Formats: sequence, structure tokens, C-alpha cells
Amino acid sequence: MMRFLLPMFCILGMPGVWCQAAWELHPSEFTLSGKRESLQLIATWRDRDRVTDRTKGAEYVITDPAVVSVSRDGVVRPRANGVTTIRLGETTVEVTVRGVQSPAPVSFRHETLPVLSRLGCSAGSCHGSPHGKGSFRLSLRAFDPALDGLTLVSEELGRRTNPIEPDKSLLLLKPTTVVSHEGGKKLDKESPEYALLRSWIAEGAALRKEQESTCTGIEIYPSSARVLHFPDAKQQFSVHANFSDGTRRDVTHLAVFESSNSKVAEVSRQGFVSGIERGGVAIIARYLEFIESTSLTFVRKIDGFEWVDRKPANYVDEHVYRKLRQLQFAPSQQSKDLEFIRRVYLDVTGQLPSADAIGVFVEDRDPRKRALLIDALLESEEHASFWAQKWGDLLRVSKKQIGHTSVFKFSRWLVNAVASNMPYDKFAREILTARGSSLVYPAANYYRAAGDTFDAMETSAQLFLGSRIQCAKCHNHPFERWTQDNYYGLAAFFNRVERKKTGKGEELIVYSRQDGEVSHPASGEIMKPWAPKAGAMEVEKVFDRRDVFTEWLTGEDNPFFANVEANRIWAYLLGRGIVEPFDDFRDTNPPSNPPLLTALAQDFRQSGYDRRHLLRVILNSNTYQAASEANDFNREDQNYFSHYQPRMLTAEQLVDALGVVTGRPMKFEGVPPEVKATELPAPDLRPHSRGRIGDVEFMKVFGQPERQTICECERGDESSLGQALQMYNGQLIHDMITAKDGNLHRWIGEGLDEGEIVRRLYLSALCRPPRDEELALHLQYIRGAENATTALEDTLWIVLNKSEFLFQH
Amino acid sequence: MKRALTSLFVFSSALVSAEVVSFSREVAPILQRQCVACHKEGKAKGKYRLDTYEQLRKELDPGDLETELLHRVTTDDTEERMPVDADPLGDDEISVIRRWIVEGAKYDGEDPGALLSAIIPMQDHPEAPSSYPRPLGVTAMVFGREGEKLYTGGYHEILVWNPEDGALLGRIPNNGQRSYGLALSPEGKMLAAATGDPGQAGEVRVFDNQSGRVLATPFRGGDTLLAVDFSPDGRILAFGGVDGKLRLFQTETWTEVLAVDAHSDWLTALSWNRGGTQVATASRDKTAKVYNVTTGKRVSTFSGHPEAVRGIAFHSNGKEVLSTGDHGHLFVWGSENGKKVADRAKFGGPVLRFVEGRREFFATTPGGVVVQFDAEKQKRLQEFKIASQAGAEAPTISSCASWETLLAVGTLDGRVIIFDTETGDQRTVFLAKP
Repeated sequence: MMRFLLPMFCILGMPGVWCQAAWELHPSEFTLSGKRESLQLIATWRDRDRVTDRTKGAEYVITDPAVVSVSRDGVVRPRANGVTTIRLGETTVEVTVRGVQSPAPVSFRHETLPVLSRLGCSAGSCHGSPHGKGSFRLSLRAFDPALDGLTLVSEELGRRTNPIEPDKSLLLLKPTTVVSHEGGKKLDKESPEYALLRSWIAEGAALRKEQESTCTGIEIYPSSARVLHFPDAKQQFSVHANFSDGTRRDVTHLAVFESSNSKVAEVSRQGFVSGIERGGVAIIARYLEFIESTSLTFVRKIDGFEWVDRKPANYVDEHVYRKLRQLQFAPSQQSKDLEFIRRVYLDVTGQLPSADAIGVFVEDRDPRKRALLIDALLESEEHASFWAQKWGDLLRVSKKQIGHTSVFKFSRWLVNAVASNMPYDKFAREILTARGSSLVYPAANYYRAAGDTFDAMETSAQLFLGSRIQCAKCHNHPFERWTQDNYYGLAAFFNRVERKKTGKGEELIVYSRQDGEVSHPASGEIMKPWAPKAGAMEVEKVFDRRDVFTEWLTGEDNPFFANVEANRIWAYLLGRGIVEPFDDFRDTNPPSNPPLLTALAQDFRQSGYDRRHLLRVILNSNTYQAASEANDFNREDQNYFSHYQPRMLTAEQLVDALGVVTGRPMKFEGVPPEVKATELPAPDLRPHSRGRIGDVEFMKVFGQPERQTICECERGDESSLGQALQMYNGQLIHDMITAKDGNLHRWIGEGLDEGEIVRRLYLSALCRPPRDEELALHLQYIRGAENATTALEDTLWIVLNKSEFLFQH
Repeated sequence: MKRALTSLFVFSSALVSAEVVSFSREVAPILQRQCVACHKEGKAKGKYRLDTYEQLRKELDPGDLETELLHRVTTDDTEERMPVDADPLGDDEISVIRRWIVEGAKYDGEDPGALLSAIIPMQDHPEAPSSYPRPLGVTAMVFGREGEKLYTGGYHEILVWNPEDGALLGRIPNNGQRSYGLALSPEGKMLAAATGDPGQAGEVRVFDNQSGRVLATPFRGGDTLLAVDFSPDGRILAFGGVDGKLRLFQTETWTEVLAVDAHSDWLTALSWNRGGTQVATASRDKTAKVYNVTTGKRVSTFSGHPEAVRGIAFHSNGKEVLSTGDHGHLFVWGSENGKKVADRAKFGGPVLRFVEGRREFFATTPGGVVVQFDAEKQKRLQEFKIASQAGAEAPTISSCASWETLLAVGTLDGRVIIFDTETGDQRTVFLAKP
């Protein structure tokens, strides 16, 4: 009977002696230092390991209501000076109120501008764009308060504010659409934002306060990751700002809130999050130039779902399964041997497995055969050139960027690096600190493609920090913590790099000058080299600043380095990074499985940055080896790796596969005839010839990057009409299939029986024999046709157009 | 008999018209307020205009209740409803429009091509507050004929001050919310004001200088007018503003002489030549132009300003024009060909006002400094500096006026400072607010 009553106590919100559920109130104490300040309480009901936000509508009890009031939404407002407590269940908040009678003029920097950001006025798509809108230009998200002050108060002879009748200020008439506003209705006359702007104008539209303190940072609450369960999938957030005068203010009503994935959850202007579907999301809060975020995971009980434990092959599976279980996705079964061998060959070597190799693998009874195959493939030459090619894409190894000879030298260097399993930190160091002649040290070509200070810095940031910092060149980064100062600070590591042509062919000498500084474009201040988390660094007696950068980059205090490469390798194998896109790490783009990424990065680091080791770990996991066929409980999953996601072969993989299946491999200009597409050192080795655009265009149509940018997005991954046309009617396909010295015609010439030919085609292209009904259909067509040869060509054509061929799965 | 019939007709139509919706009094104000900003000449969203009766009737037939206009203001479909992304029209507004259509969509104005803003009956402007809670930027100034008065733009009024001691001599009511230009006719009888309620309305209003009575309101538009000046013989009044057009009106009959599409952005300043045959115009579109007043044709364009042009003045030789702007240059260029003659000065910020004095020019430059230039060759003569207010940055100068040896400077923080240009001394300082 007692056992029955226990849960009842908890449910009724009354913690009983045996019950572990309790209220939590945040903060535990606070001071309101003026009549206009407020405090957003966060009320959490914690029941063992489950938390529920109950901020709205909780029964707050104020000890002395003369001092403060509390709204239904948990907002505390001051009434009179004094101290009181607010109680919820057993937990309390102590609130001190001071200075209620002191004048509290609106602060331009700390209130007016943040409100304009909050309303979206200074967003990049509106008045924060480079030319503003309607001749009204604000700095992007208020990163330049001085300029904004002049714009609002002085520009155009002060037409935007009305000191005599503040409500008639254009600044208020427009966003409330009393005067037509192309941006639409952004402000409600009854809102607190309107009241604040109006007060600011009525008080004289002052741009600075006497002895105004500066904000030193913000805190978001909840600050640590939370799991929320439907139907209680909601969470109120609050933001506190710390100031240089030692005060702390609640700025929840001034901050800007965003959700990293509006399909999973939305957040209101007041910082109230509502979950929509299961998944992970980052809730970001911004105030002034500060940005903080917290991860939320929304889980829902799925009908009929029952987690079936399965043995993880390694830690990868442990982390993946934990996330899947939490979100109630069931992982797919393991792939069959035929599925596996095709997939792993394509991923590791870029090639299709031969029929012989398939046969041997399938017959093998060794329980470790998959692991052994993986090892063998990782040691192969094809692996080295295929994976070196991926780096070639990122490092802009192309004739246009670095020259013909350098393409071969740099390419070979990359192949050797992969073949010898050069540790990744050494790899990065060789590239970043390359000096000397590009003929002797091919890695110096990195600085040829990255031809100036800012290019070198942006490239290094994107490749090795996974960060697209370019936006911060002109203003604070709109999506993450990078400020304009950071941009120029980071550039200070690269500004002394000199590149000198010797005139001896393509030779380029790269070295570091001993002088030269980067100055901030606006203030003229000399920028000290700066790195994230490490801050400004001492480089007084340093010979080459790049050494300092690289030491920090590969050092233990830098979490980004290992994360980025681990994530990149994961993305290449699974088709999608844990952070996606893989060169876009930011608060507003959180990893879909943070512990997985952390574990991979840590393993990577501890192994001495051994890439082959990491590949091995991932390839041997159940997660990698899962079937691509989804089940009822994971069909909706695209982010959490419950099943292998099929994707189209890359342009190079496709061209090589076509060559192997048809027996008529493509030949490329500028390289020996046996060089495969997946070994091509650059995409532009031959001059573009209008008369022969047929075959070069093929790879471009299928997404081959030009290698003019470092963005992983340069490789197209969208399907297109052009691709369909190439595969249905293309000249290349036609020539390959009908070639007299190709496989098909050879087999016909050898007198092979039609069924055998079909079987060989299937084995070669799809890595499996045809099913009985498939074989029957094909034979029916071939035997019923007028011309058997043409019919066989048609059959090959059909096979090459099957998704099963075009995709890896 | 005829007379009896006529009076019967007039009588009965008076009875009828008492119930019929008046386009100019009832419909036009709604359209002007809610629609014209996006559906007018120069900005016609969806290629639809209704800034004149003529334009409105292009897509609207009398009695047609299925007309698109009605559909758009009443539909529940948020993609289609007008006004875009704002509160919908009130029921009363919609019913007025509907009744007007039913009653024949008639026009009770004179010229169907006239702007709606021009046919909406003029109403008195609100009363100015007896005292201002805060200073108002001084954005327009002009001295009286004998230098015994200084007029400044107030809030819905023009204020009259004593330049000697800053005492308030008088207040001329019934004006637009803010004034951006003031001009006195040559014989001193008429005071013209270029005014507006920013973003909402604008007009040029002419007052009797002595009595303060409104003599004429030659133009009313959708946004502020920024510059106004009489021709040297006082027969023509030229003005321009946000819509970029240059308009000229006869001051005897107040009939329109000219209306040219002078600029693609705000017309910020204008200047007559000595002969009264040409007007030079400055614009935010970064050009300055010279127009022939008789033919209405453009004589020349100067495109040397890298940013908005804010101040302009004809040289007394009639062959050159001086202009200043946001980029801080003082350019001299030929009035006949628009070619640059000289770049006389470069200041580190916007030069918002450029005013002709008795024998010199004054340019208002950043940092609260007015620079005096010799009229002939624009040599720098003197500088007059306005002190900052306590704790504030350098003041922004928003207006400037000259009479004999008096130089009046108005600031955005509401002050008027008067200098003696011979001694260089500051004579009077006062806050221009009642």
C-alpha cells in the first residue's frame, strides 16, 4: 500500500520522505538594482534523473509581496527596496531589491541596441546588411555602437527620433507599420520593447551614460545539456550578464534566442523553447557581442519500440547505441557480406571489388574476415591514392592554383603521406610550417594556393579548425563567437609568410620575414597573434610565428584539431559528419552525438594521431557495417547513424567503376594511361578544349570539384538532369558499352552464353549474382530481340543505370 | 424656368451629395495613409499604382464589388492581403471604399491626375506645445530682412528670435512638424517653409511675414520637403525634397511653373543664379544639376561627388557652381558643362550645409566647425567653432544662416549660436526652444 502511495506523493509535487523528486529554483539568490530590472526564474521539477521545466504557472510564494511581484511566467519585478524570499516547494530564492527610487535611464549600449537586435532590425537580411534597407543602415547585430548611435540620432538631420512626441518617432512608427514598412510588423505598441525604445527617446536619446560599466560576459541557464521528454518538451531559458562594476543583471528580456534546428524545437523571443520532434538541438543566446548555448535532447516514447541490446564491436557502437536508445531508434541489422564488400572497397579504395575478390571473401569462413579485409584494403596503394585525392580537393591541388609540375609533386607527397600513415599532427605541421623551395618541399605549395595572409589564415582555420571564419573579416561573425578582432589576431600568425618566385620553372620559395604586423582595419591597432581559448600570444623572439600557431593547434589544450579530422574521416565513411558540414563547426551547428565525437577525438589523439587506426575503428564498428535497409523504427533517422545511408558514387568512383565493368577505362590527358580517376592528381591537367568537352564534362556533371576553393561543398552532391542525361544518352556511356575491345564484345566474341554474360555483368557492377527472376527477365529480353548483340548492349546499359550500381549502400 | 430647374437640380444634388461618399475627403486619406507608400510613381509594387485617381481607375470599374482592390483588403489569405504584413484596414475604412465603388467610384477633385496628397482637404496642423519637453534640432534658419530677427524651424511652428539676446519674439503656428528650409522673399513680405512629418507627409507653406497668416500651401506630398528658395526677383518659389523632384511655382498666382524629375533620390539643397534663369540642385543621389527655369531642361550634371551632395550655391559669376556633401569635398564645377574646375577643400566628414553670405561662403563641417571661404576663389578665411555640451561629443551642425556680418549656426542639440564674422567673436548663444 505504501509503495503505491509513494509515487503519488511525488506526482502531487510534494516531496515525501521516501520520494526523490524535488523542486529546483534558479538562481538561488539575486539582487535587483533598479526599478526597471527583472529576473526570470527557472523552476525545474527533478524526479530522479528526469527533469521537467515547470517555470510557467508554478505556485511561487513570496514572503514579503511589498518587495517584489512574480508573474505567471516566473518573472520577478521589484516593488520596493528590501529583501525577501520566493518559495517553491522546499526550495527558495533570496531576492534583494535596491535603488528602486533612483532614476534608471535607458542605456543605449546595454538596452536600446540589444532590443534592436532582438527585434531583428540589425540582422544581415535587414538593416544590418552592408547597404542597409531604405537608406537606413545599422551595424550587423550592433557590433559598432558608435556608428549606430550617429545613425539613429543624427543622420538625416535627426528625422528618425522625435524628442517632443516620442511616439511619433519614425523609429517607432515604422516597425509598428503605422508608416509603411517593407520589413513588416516587427514591433507591437503594447510590448516591453516598444516601451523601452520610447523611454530612450523620451529621455533624450542619450548615447552614453556617465561612468557606464562594460559587459564582461554572459551566462545562460540551463547551462548544461538536458534531456526533455514529450509531452513536457519545453524549457524556459534565462540569461545573466556580468558587468565590470561587479553587478549582474538578468538580460533575458534583452537577449536574442535561436534554435539550431527549427524542425526539432523552436524558441520564442522570451527564451521559451518548445520541442517539436525528437532529436538534438542547440539553443543559442546572444547579448551584445557574447554568445552562449546549451544542448537539449527531446525524446519521445515510441509505441511498440523495445530496445534490443546488441553487443557493440567497439566504443563507437557504445556511443551510437546510447543515443539511438535515448531517441528510440532501432539500429538496422548488420549488412550481408555482398553488401559489405562492395561498400568497404568503395570507401577505402574508391574501386569496385573484382568478381574473384568477392568470391574469395564470400567463401571465407574466418569469423575475422571483415577485419582482415579492412586491414588489407588500408594497406593498399589504391587506398593511398584515393584518400590522398580527398586532401588534394581540400588543398586546392590544381594546375590553375599551383602549376603543372607542382600538381604532381604535391600530389605524390600526399599519396606518400597516406601510404606511410603519417601522423596527422605531423601532416598538419609539414603543411602549415612548410618553408623552402616548393620543388624540394612540395607541401610549400599550400602557400601558393593560399596566396596571401588572409587566404592562408582562412584556409588554415577552415581546414584545421573546421571554422568558416571569413565573415569576421568585416564584422563580428553572425553565427559564432569569432569577432573581428579575432579574425585579425589569427591573421597575425600568417602575415610574415613570404612567397618568392625564383623564375626557375614553377619554383616558389616560402619563408618567414622577421618583420611586419597586422593592424585592425578600423582602429589601426597592431594585432597580437591570437588563438581561440589561448588568447593573445607572445611571439617576441619567435623566428617563425607559424611554429607558434602549429604548436598551439596540435597541442593538448586545443580541442578543435582532433575533433575536426575525426569528424572528417567519419563523414567520408558514413556520408555525413557528426558535425555537418564537416568544415563548419559552430555553436549554432552542434554535433549530433557529442560523446561520440569526443571519444573519437580522444582515441585519435591518444593513438598519436594515427589515421589508419581511426579508420580501422570506424570500419570495424557495427554502425559502419549496418545494412542500408531501414526498419520501421529508424526510417525517419537521418542524423544518428541507425542505418547506413546510401549515397551516390563520387564522380571519380563512378568513372572507374564504369571503366571496370565495361572494360573500357577512361584515359586522362596529362597522366599515363593506366592512371585511374581516383588517382588523378588534379582535375584540370589538360587544357579545356571545346571540341572534346564530352568526357571531361562527365566528371564535372557528377560533382568533381574544380579545386579552386577549400570548401567541402565544392564537390557537388546533388543529383541533376545532366547526370541523368549522361547515363541515359551520354556519349561516354555509349562508347564504353559498344567498344569492340570492351568486356561485352570480347565475351560475345569468346562465345560466352548470354546467361553467363549477364551473371558477369551483375557481379562486376553490383557485386552480386542476378536473382533468378532478374536473370529470367534479362534472358527473355535478349532471346526475344532481333539482334542479340544490341540486346546485350542494352542489358549492360540497364545495369549501369540501376541505382544499385550508381549508389554505394 | 431654366433657373428654377437649375436650382432644383442643385438643390437635389446637394441632398444626394450629402450622403454620397466623397473621394477626396474620405477615400483618398485612407489610400494615402495605407497604400500609397508602396503603390506610387517610382515605387509601384506589383506594378500597381493608386497615387492618383487616374491610376486607381485603371484597374477599378464603377460598381464592381469583385474588384481586386476590395478583394485584397478583405481576404483572409495572408499571402494576398493588403497592406502587406501590417494590421488590416478597419471595417469602417473598408465600408467607405465599398460604398464609394457602389456609388459609381466618382471623382470630386479637379484634376484626375493630381496626387491624392494634393486633393485631400488641407487640415490645420496640430498646435505646437506651449513649451517643449526637450530641445529640438534646429534644422532651418533664416534672418529677417534687416537682421533684426532670426526665424528657426520649431515643432509645428516657426519661431522668431531676437539675434541680440536670444529672446523669443514670436511664434508662427500651423506649420508642418519639422522645417528643413526657410526662405524670405526679396522684399521681405513672404516667409516660405519646406517642412514635413518625416516618413508621413510634407508640404511647402508660405506665410505672411508680419501677421503669420498662411498665404498658400502650393504643394503637399508623402514625405518631407527639404529645400526652398525664392528667385532673386521674388516671382518664383523653387523647392524640392524626398521625392527628388524640382518644382517651381509663381508667387503671385501660386500656379505651378515647372515640375521636373530632377533626381533619383532626395533633393537636399538648391540655389538660384543671380539672373534668376537657372536653379542648381543637390541630391542624395550623389549628383548635382543645373536646370534652365524657362525651358525646364537640364543644363548640366556634376557627378564628381563620391557620396550624397548636401549643399550647393551658384558663384556670383554665374558660370560656376560650388557644392559640398557627405564625403567632405568642396567642389567647384562649370554650370554649363558639369565639369570639375577645382576641389577646394576636403574635410574629414559630411559638410551638411553650404550657405552664401554677403561676400563669402560658409560650409558647416564636422566637429562643430563652420569654415568661411572667400567668395571669389574660395580661399579659407576663418573658422568658427561651436563648443560641445558637457560630456557630449562635438555637436552636429544642422543649419546655417548669414546676414551682413552675422553668422547664425543651428545644432542638432537645439542651440543657436551667433557669431560676428568681422571680429570672429561669439555674440549670442541660446537654446531655441520655448
